[in-house]
Amino acid sequence: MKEYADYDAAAMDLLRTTRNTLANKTGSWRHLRPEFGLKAAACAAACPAGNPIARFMSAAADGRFEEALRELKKENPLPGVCGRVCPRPCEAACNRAEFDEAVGTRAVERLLGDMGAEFGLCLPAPAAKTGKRAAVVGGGPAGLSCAYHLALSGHDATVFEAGGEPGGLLRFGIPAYRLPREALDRELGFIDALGINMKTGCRADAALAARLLDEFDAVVAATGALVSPGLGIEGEGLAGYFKGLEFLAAANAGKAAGIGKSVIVIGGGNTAVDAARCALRLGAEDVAVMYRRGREDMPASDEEVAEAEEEGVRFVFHAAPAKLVGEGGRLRGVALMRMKPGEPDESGRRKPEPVAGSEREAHADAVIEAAGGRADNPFGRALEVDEWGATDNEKLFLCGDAAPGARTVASAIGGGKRAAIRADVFLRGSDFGALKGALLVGGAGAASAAAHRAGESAPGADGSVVRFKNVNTAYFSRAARAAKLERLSPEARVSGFEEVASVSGVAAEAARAEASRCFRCGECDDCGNCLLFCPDMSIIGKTAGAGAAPGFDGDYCKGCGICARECPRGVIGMIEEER
Amino acid sequence: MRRARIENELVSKGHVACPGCGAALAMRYALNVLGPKTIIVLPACCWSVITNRHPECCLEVPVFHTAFETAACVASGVRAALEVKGDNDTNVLAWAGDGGTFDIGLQALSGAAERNDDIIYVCYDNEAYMNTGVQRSSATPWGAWTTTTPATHFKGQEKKNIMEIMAAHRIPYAATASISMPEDLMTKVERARVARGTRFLHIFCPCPTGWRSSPDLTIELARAAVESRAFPLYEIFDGAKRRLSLDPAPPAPVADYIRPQGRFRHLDSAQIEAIQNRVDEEWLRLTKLIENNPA
Ligand SMILES: Cc1cc2nc3c(=O)[nH]c(=O)nc-3n(C[C@H](O)[C@H](O)[C@H](O)COP(=O)(O)OP(=O)(O)OC[C@H]3O[C@@H](n4cnc5c(N)ncnc54)[C@H](O)[C@@H]3O)c2cc1C
Ligand SMILES: Cc1ncc(C[n+]2csc(CCOP(=O)(O)OP(=O)(O)O)c2C)c(N)n1
Ligand code: SF4
Ligand code: SF4
Ligand code: SF4
Ligand code: SF4
Ligand SMILES: [Mg+2]
Repeated sequence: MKEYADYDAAAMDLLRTTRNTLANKTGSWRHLRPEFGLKAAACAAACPAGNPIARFMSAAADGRFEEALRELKKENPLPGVCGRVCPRPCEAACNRAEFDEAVGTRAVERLLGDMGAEFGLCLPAPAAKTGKRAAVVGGGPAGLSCAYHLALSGHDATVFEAGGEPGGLLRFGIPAYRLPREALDRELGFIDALGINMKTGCRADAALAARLLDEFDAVVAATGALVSPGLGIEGEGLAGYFKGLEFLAAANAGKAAGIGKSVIVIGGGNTAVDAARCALRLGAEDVAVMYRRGREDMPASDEEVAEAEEEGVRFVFHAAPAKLVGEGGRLRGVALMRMKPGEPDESGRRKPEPVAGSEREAHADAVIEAAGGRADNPFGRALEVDEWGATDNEKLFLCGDAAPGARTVASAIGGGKRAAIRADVFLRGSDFGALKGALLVGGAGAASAAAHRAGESAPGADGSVVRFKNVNTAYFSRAARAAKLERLSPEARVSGFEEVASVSGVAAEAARAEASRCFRCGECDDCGNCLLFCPDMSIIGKTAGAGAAPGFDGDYCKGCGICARECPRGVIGMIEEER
Repeated sequence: MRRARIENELVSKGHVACPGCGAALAMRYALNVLGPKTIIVLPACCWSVITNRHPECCLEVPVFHTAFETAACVASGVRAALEVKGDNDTNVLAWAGDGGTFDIGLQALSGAAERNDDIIYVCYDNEAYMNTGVQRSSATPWGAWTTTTPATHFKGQEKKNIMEIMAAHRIPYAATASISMPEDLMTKVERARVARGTRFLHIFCPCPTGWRSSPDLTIELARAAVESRAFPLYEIFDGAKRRLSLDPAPPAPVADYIRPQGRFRHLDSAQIEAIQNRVDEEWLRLTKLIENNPA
């Protein structure tokens, strides 16, 4: 029998393969390619403060709370505040809402903010000092956020605040039953920590404003919209008539008294609802909010209105005051008109019109005006301002309620941040035109200060936002909301100013459980799906830290798209290959 | 959840499977478990082409390319040779398509199983003869288009039940697996690896080219087949005791699986309903069997 050795070795070698296929670059087959650019989650694109939601959720879901708080603080100095009072546009935009129920982002933000009691301020490291000096006029959330981000960018920031303490409406507008002062004060600790010069009790008039423009390298006006327009009707001189913001300021300072038994509040926004709830807490027995439009048009949030109703506040819609009625200089009541919706106005809402002959008098010991405030600043009322807060004076910036746009705490924080970034670019003499396209989360949302400081692009700055269709729900199971709010009984609430709502259960457990519900849209958590499912071994694992996405091997990837389809959280997209 | 990682990457890049090939993934997972001490016997099938043309081969283990109908008997021969050499720990893996298993190679497979030869036999099932241009096999499901069963005369026969044929041989281990569930698949390869005698794995591998489906849907379709119970995952021990690997309750509608595939495009909703009924009946039959013979 012929032995193996008897065969012609060369002939045998002809049958044998000699090498693997690495020389065969199948990448040339591809007409689509995966891309791993940092994308914005739908929630983050909707958060006016630019909170890095998916990022902090990733850390919180793993119980790394301190890291989560640090991530938040890179963008927002006041998570414990937003986590209480924000109307949560993030939750309205949350991709998980299409799966079961939106993630309780605000609750997680609140819990993390409050963990500052344990972890401290968790501030980002400030940039090297620039020697530039910036003045911020107004110490509300917009001015504070602006000073915070200016200081983090290495500038010397000085805040001029008319009030005795910083906080603006967070202190003298929003009552403690919605925002306890400990929560506010804890987060304001950054003022000292960052060496921000805080000049309280200092109201800037036109003369000081001019001097600031002379003496500082940049000046930011964040003076709010605190001028009450009044009702503009007969009887505003009567005793028993109050301006909403003044009444709230007194109530919040514990100095309001003698409001009477029956109170009518005129308005439909935050001020109206909070004034009504404060009146109840100050001993009023019958409190009604009268609004000239319908419930659906009220600017106040449903949550607040519901809480107020539970406490006994009555809401009367389609009613407006014609005049205040009094006797001997003292208010007795209000002459009310019934209103009906007329033609739509600029806001798209139907303009209320009085119904002829509908006038009637309602009794009241006190009437509180609660119309929205008018913006004011000592630099000249008619300032032209762009969406970055830049004005026609290159060293003057404007933000918060004092500038046009939404009037919420989160938008004030976001606006202050934009103005800080814009001012930083001005102070450094950089070219803003080249930068600005890279700064907005999701291409149109809030600015990312963390990205600006790091010289990187904000998540989804090119407009890529992870939507529900980009999430692969096969990798998630349904789970009811874990972080739930519980509220004091209405009786307990109206007996004082104790905080009404708290998150049920143990904070760490609730935060972790709720964060675990988050899909972490656009945020690579190194799950390994793409690595495991690539038929061409062409996913190169993640090499960098939090949020960094993997890469792909262009020599071999055939562009099948499995990685993009199987990424649970929309990190990977497929784009046309350039050839 | 953190997924399993591939430690033994024994399929090299540059192989020539179509984009989105399910069969390529099946090999990746199997070799991860079996490791470098494995000899593959590869009959004519897509995989004999995926390796790429001589003198290249994407598989970093020894491979015998063999005739279409001979996977099992060549594997038996390789095992015999190893025994002669006193090598007991090299895995012998016959790796064949559905055509090479359900049809032309069934005789050789039955012979090896009847002798309980010590081999692992994997049928990667893409439900047609793909290598030669999508001809029907006895693994092609009812209703499917292939080039030999055109839409006007789509396949009118049910898919053959290969698992019960293998069970009838009383082999120590047989299991179905899906590339959409790599951890389950690899667990089953490991069970096969440590057992002795003839071990059979039936791995469901969507084929974008032959199924006329978008290549990015490969995993999604494999998953939909499992979740709709069209391809149940289970194991059979010694041809008798059975265990369900996963009970997709409630199941997804089988239409979710059927609709995205071009090979079923011609079916109307009544015909899809008929498939649904067949799937429901088969599930009932399988779960009864399992109930009566639990592992
Ligand atoms: C009663 C009430 C309840 C609200 N509730 C909510 C809520 O639940 N959620 C929400 O998101 N938003 C709420 N808002 C809106 C929110 O408070 C404001 O949009 C936000 O505070 C605006 O921030 P800001 O910094 O621009 O202005 P402000 O908070 O008004 O701060 C402006 C600051 O500038 C100071 N200032 C003004 N002029 C000068 C000057 N010339 N010199 C020096 N200092 C000056 C003021 O003293 C003040 O401290 C509420 C508003 C009110 C009135
Ligand atoms: C005896 C014989 N008949 C026909 C062929 C041609 N042929 C090669 S592969 C193949 C089809 C293989 O189908 P399957 O086993 O399902 O594997 P797939 O290509 O689908 O992966 C055929 C018909 C052959 N090689 N030998
Ligand atoms: S600030 Fe408001 S919008 Fe932003 S994350 Fe918090 S609750 Fe959501
Ligand atoms: S699931 Fe998480 S990351 Fe995605 S939109 Fe909702 S909160 Fe944001
Ligand atoms: S799965 Fe692999 S081959 Fe397919 S597109 Fe992604 S990297 Fe490329
Ligand atoms: S599949 Fe997982 S590992 Fe891959 S990019 Fe998406 S999140 Fe990251
Ligand atoms: Mg086949």
